[in-house]
Amino acid sequence: MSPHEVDGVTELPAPLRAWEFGAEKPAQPAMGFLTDMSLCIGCKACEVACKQWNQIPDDGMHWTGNSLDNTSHLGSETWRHVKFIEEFGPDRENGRFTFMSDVCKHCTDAGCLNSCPTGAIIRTEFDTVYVQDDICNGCGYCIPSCPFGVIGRAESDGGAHKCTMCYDRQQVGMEPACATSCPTDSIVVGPLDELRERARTRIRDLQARGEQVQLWGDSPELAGGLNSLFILNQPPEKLGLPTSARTGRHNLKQSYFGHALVALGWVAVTAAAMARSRR
Amino acid sequence: MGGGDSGGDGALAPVSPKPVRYGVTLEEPARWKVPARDDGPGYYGQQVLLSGPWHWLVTWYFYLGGISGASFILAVLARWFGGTSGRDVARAGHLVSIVTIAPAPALLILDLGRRGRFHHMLRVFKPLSPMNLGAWALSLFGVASGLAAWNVLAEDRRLPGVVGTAGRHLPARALGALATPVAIYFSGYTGTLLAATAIPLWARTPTLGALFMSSAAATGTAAVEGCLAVAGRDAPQLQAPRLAALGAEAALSEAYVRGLGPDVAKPLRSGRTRNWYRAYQLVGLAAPLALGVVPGRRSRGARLAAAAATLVGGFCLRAAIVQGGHESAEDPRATLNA
Repeated sequence: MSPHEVDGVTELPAPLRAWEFGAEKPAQPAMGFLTDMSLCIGCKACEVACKQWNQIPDDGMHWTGNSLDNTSHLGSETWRHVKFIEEFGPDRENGRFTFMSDVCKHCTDAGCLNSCPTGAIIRTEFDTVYVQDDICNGCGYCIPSCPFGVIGRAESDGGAHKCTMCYDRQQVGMEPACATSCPTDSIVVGPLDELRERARTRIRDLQARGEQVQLWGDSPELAGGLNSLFILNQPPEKLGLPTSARTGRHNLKQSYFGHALVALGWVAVTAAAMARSRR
Repeated sequence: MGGGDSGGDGALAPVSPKPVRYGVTLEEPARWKVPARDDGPGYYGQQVLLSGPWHWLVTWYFYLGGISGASFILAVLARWFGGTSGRDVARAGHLVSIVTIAPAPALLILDLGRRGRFHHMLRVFKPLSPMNLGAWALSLFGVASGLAAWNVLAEDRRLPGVVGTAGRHLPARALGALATPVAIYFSGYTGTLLAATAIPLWARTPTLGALFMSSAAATGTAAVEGCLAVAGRDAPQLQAPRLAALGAEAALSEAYVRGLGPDVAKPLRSGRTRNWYRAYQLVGLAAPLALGVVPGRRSRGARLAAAAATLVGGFCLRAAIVQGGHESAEDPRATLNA
C-alpha cells in the first residue's frame, strides 16, 4: 500500500485535498481518565510526571500541615494534585491513609469552554477540553466558571492553564504522562466506554470484599457527565468534590429574560414620564 | 494478592472473604471513620472553587458601564418623547454616557493577563459567553455613544469648523434607534456574566441580570439628574424613572438574597462583604427612596442628595457582589451543599 492509500482509496497529494476540509474523519472514541483511589499509594509520581512533560513552572513550596499534601489545590501550575486523608483513632494505633489524585474533569458541559470569550478553549477530537495558549488573552472568566476549581491563571505568562490530558502525546498515540508514570495503574486512560466498564467491574470486586467504594463522575448531574472518572473510597464531600455541579450556562436564559423584562418596564415608565412633561 | 486469580476479561482482582489491611480488619471500620481532628467541611476546609482575578477594575467597569448604558437610553427616550423639555436630559444623558464609557476599555484591558491580546475577544461571535457578547456590545455601543456625544456637542456649537458641521449632520435619531437595544444589553449584561459562573453567590439564582439592569437604570438616571441639578437645571421627569428603578431594585435585591438561601448569602449578611451590602441597602435604596417621598423632594438639595446616594449605593452593590463572590468561593459548604 502506498503512503497515499488508505483503506483501498488513493488520496490526492495534500494541496489538492483542500476541498475535503470538513469531510468525515475516522471515528475517534471519547477518551477519559479513570483514577482509582483504592490503588493509589500517594507517591505523587503523576504530579511530577505532569510537571516534567508539560514543563509547568514551580508553584511555590508551602507547608500546609494537611497530612503530606503540600500541593493544596489544582491550578494553573498544578494539573495533577494528590489529596491525602489520614484517618486514625485518638490512640493513633490503627488507621489508614487514603489518597486521591485529582485532575481536570474534562466535563461534557464544560463551564470554562462555555464561558471562554475568545474561543481559546476548545473540545478536541479526543472529547477533551483544551486551552489554546496562543489564543488565550488571560481574561480570567474560565476560572470562576469551573465548578471544580481546576483552571487557573498563571502569574508567569498571564494565560489560563489546566490539564490537557496530554493532547500532544495522545495525538501521536501515547498515553498521558501521569498514567504512564503511575506505578500501580491507579490512573488509567482509555476510551470512556471501556473505562466505565472497567470501573464497574472494579467496584463490584471491591464491594464484594466489603470495601465502601463508589464511582464519581459518571452522573449527568456533574456538568453533564465527566470524562474523568474516579473510584472513591471516601465520601466525595470529604475530598472537596461536589455531588452536583450545574454549569452557569443554565442561568443564561432566565437571567437575560429578567434583564430584558426590567429594561422594557423601565423604558416604558421613562417614556411615559418624558411624554407627560412634554412642552 | 491471593492465589485465586480468576483471569479473563474484566476480572481485575480476586475476591477474598476476609481481607486484612494495615492490621485493621474491614469488619470494624468504626475506628478509622473517626478523624483525629476536626478538619472542617470538605477537604481540610479548603475552598473547592477558584474565584479568579477580578477585583476593583472590574467593579468599576460594571458600575460605569451600567451608568453609561442607562444614561444613553434616557437620552434617546428624552429626544423621542420629551419634546423641548427633554432637550436638557438628552444632552446631559449623551455626555454622561460618553464620559462613563470612556474608561471602560482601559478597565477591561488592564484586567487581562495578556493585555496585547484584548482584540482576541472579537475573533469569534459566541452568544454562549456573556463576556464575548459584552465585548461586542462594548465595541458597538462605545462607537454609538461617542457619535451621539459628538452630535450633542456639535449642536451646541462647541466644536469648530468641519468637525462641528459633520457632527450636526449625524443621523442622531436613527443612531439612537439602532443603538438602544445594544445599550440595554450593555447596561445589565454584567449581572448575567456573573450568573453564568459556578460561584454560588453569583449563580445560585439567576437574578443578577435583572438586579444589575435595575441598578444601572437607577444610577444612570441619578447621574443625569445630578449633573442637571449641579448645572442648576430642573428635570422633574427623571424622578419617576429613578424611583421606579429603585423600587424594582429593592424588590429584586430582596428576591436575590432570599433565593440564595442563608448559607450562600452569608457573605452579604455576615461576612467580610456585609458592610458593602449594608451600605448599599441604606445609602443606595433606603435613603433615595425616602428622599423621593419627603415634602421637600423637589428642592435642589434634595435632588442632589438623592442622586448622590443612588450613585454611591450602585457602586456599593457592585463591590458587595464582586467581593462577596470571592468570599463565597472560599466557603466549601456553599459549594458542596448544592
